Amino acid sequence: MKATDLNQAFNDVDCEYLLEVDAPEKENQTMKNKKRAFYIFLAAALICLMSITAYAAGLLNIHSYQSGSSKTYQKYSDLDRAYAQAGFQATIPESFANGFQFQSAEVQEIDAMDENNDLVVTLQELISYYKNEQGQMLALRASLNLEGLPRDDRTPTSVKTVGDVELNFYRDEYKFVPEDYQLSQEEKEWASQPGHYVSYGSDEVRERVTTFLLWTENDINYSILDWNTVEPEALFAMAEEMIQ
Amino acid sequence: MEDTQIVALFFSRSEEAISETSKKYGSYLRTIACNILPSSEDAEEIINDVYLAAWDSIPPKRPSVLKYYLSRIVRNLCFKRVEYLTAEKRGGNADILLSELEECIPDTCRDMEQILEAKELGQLLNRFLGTLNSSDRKLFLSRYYYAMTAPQLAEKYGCSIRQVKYRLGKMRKELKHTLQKGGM
Repeated sequence: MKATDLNQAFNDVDCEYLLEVDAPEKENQTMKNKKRAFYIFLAAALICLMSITAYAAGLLNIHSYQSGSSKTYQKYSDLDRAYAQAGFQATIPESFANGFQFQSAEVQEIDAMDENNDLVVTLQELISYYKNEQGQMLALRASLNLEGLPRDDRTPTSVKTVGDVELNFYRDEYKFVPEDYQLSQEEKEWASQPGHYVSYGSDEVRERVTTFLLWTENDINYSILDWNTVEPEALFAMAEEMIQ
Repeated sequence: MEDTQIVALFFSRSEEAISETSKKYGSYLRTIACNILPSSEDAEEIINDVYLAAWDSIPPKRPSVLKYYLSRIVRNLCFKRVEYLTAEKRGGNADILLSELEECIPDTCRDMEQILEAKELGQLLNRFLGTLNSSDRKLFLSRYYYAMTAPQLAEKYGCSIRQVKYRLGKMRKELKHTLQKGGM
């Protein structure tokens, strides 16, 4: 068999699958450039959030993470379906006291790869997006607290305890670069510092600061991710609303 | 104009069939041709050939979905043109696409000289597509049916180029596995 034979076989693709491709992408049609950039940068930052600089012996041999496919749920009332797809339930508020309102949720597949780029395990994450009246956006991420996954061992910028739950606040700097971008020596040195990340795949070079709050409750890892537009105290207050 | 009306024009051998087809699907067909062929001149020639092929085949054929009937013609003609072009003029997206599909062929099938049932291969492909979730299936067909490039796919589906390439690579491995299991 040759590649041209397989290519010919596409003549027999069911029309209903082609109709599916041709249906307009509802979420992308309404997405302005700025919002789209938010989602793309967020996806990259969430991956970096899971990245580790070294893996510990005895844990899963995970070297990197890749985003796989995702499914979006536009309505808060659809969260039950999102939970079913993700394989776990989480505390996802419809709104917060500070005005952030639920916009949509996404179940994102994350593939954890070893150093040979072979798949180690596929994880599911539930990412809920929020927006306030000022147009600020942030994301609430939930995932299962699985045994064997490497942990973030950096020192947080600040820590607060609510009951039995420890909230860790971090501030990271990201450099988003195009796919074929070559880092300068200075940039490589910058990237080697804790809390600094380079993410490949953007249209142009951009630098962003992200802040996020991490905690674990009832075997679910939560993080609230923001582009340094919301005061840390506000993020802590949002987490406190969620902690039972 | 509805497809049934356009097909009726073909059956009545009215030249309006071509103008109506061009009006409704010209842009769509041109997009596919430009995705596959290295130059817009080649693409324009192919579009005219598509209309001729449609004129010659309808009747007796009565396509149930005219759009996809035409898209198959344009794909076939474009890839035939790619084969015909000299090595200097070839290259680009079509060659990359075919080399990507090459990865999906099970090792056991590469040297086989037996004539494969094209229909069987098509059935296996549909079976594979049925195992994908909607998001992955759209991405896969946008790449391998419509020959969209990674930057175009990233723009359309709101993700990074890296993510597009990763997801497509993963699905090619899964297709290879499906073809292997299918006895190919």
